[in-house]
Amino acid sequence: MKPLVNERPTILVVDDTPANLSLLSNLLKGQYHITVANNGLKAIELATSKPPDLVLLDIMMPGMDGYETLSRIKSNEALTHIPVIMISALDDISSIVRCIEMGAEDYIPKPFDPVLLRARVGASMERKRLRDQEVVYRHQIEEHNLKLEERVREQIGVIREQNESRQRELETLVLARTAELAEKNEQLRAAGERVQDEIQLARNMQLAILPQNFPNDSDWSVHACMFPARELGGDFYDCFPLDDGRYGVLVADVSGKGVGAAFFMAVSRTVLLDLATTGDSPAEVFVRANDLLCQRNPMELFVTACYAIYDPRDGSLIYASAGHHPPLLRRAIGSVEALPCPQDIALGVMPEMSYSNHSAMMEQGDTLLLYTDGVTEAFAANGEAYGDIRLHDWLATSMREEEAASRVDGLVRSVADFVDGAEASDDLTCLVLCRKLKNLVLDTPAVKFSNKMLLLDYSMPSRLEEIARLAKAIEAVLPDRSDITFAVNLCLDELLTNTILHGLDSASDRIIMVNISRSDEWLEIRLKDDAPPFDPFAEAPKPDLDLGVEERPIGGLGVHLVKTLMDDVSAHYVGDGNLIVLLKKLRQ
Amino acid sequence: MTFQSEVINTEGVHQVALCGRLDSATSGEFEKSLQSLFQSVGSKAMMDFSALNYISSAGLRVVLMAAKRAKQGHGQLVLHGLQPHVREVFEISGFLKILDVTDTREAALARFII
Repeated sequence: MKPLVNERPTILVVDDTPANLSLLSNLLKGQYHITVANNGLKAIELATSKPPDLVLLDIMMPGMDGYETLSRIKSNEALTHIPVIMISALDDISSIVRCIEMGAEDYIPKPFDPVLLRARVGASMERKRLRDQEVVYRHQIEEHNLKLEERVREQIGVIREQNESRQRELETLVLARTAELAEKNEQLRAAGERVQDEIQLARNMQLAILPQNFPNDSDWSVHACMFPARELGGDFYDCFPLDDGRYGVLVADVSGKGVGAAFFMAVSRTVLLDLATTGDSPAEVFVRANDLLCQRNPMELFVTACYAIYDPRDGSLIYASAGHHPPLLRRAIGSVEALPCPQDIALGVMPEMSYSNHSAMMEQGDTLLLYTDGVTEAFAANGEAYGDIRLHDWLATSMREEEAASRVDGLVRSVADFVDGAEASDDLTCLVLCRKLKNLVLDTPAVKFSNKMLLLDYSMPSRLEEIARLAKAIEAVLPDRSDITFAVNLCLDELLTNTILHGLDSASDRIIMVNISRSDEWLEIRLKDDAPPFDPFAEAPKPDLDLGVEERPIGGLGVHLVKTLMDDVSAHYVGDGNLIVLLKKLRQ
Repeated sequence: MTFQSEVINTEGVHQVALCGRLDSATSGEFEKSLQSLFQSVGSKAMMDFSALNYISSAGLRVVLMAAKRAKQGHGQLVLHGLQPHVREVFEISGFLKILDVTDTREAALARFII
């Protein structure tokens, strides 16, 4: 790069005419440094060795002429930037045009006018100077850009490094936190497991403190069970002999769930058991238990309970209820009643409450059921509850011959079938007390009832004209079995007539209960009266069908008809009356 | 009323029409309505069961008593038109063997011509 100032610019004058060379040199040397060449070849040499700022180039020269010289200068990368002014005769415009097209900057006409010459050379010099300066500036700008780019790259590098370093720090931190979390989770899981283990232990203990041995006497039997829900709950049952030969049975349900309820259950059970074993009546036990529980009840829980004392000697029952479901009594015939008990308040709510005793008689074949709402409020997946009606129906259709234990199993199975795997929301507790049929040999075949359901539970005044009304009721519940309704009605008619005329001696103010159930294969008919012991099947002789009209006795046909039309008949005296059971096989 | 009966006398034959349900509650009345039937020796009677839906042993008893009295008085009793269930009760009781039972009223009337 040539310095821009403090040196006179150089002009290379190329002309084959010495006069022209000296004239031009003289005209320009005051302002410029002049070098001369008298042919094109020499001009190229000079320009290459020491590049001028401007070339004045004659067109017409021997050897390498001005065109050739211009072409070489413009095609030489080192020289092409040097402005070239052509020297030409004024009239040779076409040559000038050609040179301009080839890259010449300007032209100077001959003969030379000194002013014009200096002006044109000056202008070209100025343009050259500006171009050179522009080049310098461009170079400076490019250098600057390079520096800037370098600095930007540096900065980007620094930033990237910083980012990467921060990223690494973050990753390390995240890893550390994740590890901490995993550890905490593991601790939590272990803690949860410990709590679950302890809840399981508590649940097992709850079950373990409930009696597991139940009386099964020749006259009566008791059985009970408690299935705790997933959470700790507060259901319990109890059964215990009293000193005077009577037997206490109790079912209770503590409000709420969880550890508090479980503790309160344990306290309640101990308090009730302690008080009950004194032999006091259920109401007295409740009065005192209530006061004691009110004193030991920081969480304001309460417990509903039903306590009954059974006397195996006569089947009498004395019971009280503290805000609990009334006990259900299933009579031998299959009818079910909720025993009357105006519900007194639950235990633990308020001290100094009073409770009332009630009494009932359990006849032979009768069954008492105490239960908690885990039975009736067992929910199926669709949200439907097992409910009172289902419970009543189950109890009504359960087998009379069953023991307490199999009845408890049957109820648990019935509820389990109903909920069909849905998780229990509440404890399920039930207790069954059966007074057995005594000295009764049942010749009933081992009939297996499947899908047994109650069709009719009918109480009939003991009047002959009521039988036709019963017949209509039976036709109504067996609309699809007109093939057997005639036989069923005839048999009932015969037996009811027998009972009313002979068993009850035509007393018209008594009630006879008729109960009809149907299973897949059997129709079961039960009649229960309150007449003195009487077995129509044992006492009536089989009629001799071969006798002629005159010899045939007038009576004795009814029982024969019943025995012929039914597949199985039996009569049992059950303590307060006769129970007749008829079975008719349903032919498909 | 769940049971009705009517006795008419045509050409020397008592014709008894039974209708409805003959059981212990209604057989007493039926028994009374038959009292005049075989008072004279050689009486003839026929019972139309075609409208009788139901009979129990109490009803059978009345029929048997009528048959006994017919026998004692050298009379004749023919039953006809028994519905299947009623006929089954007669059969189980052995009555079809000892009573004169025909399917139709015409067959019953034919018994008296001999």
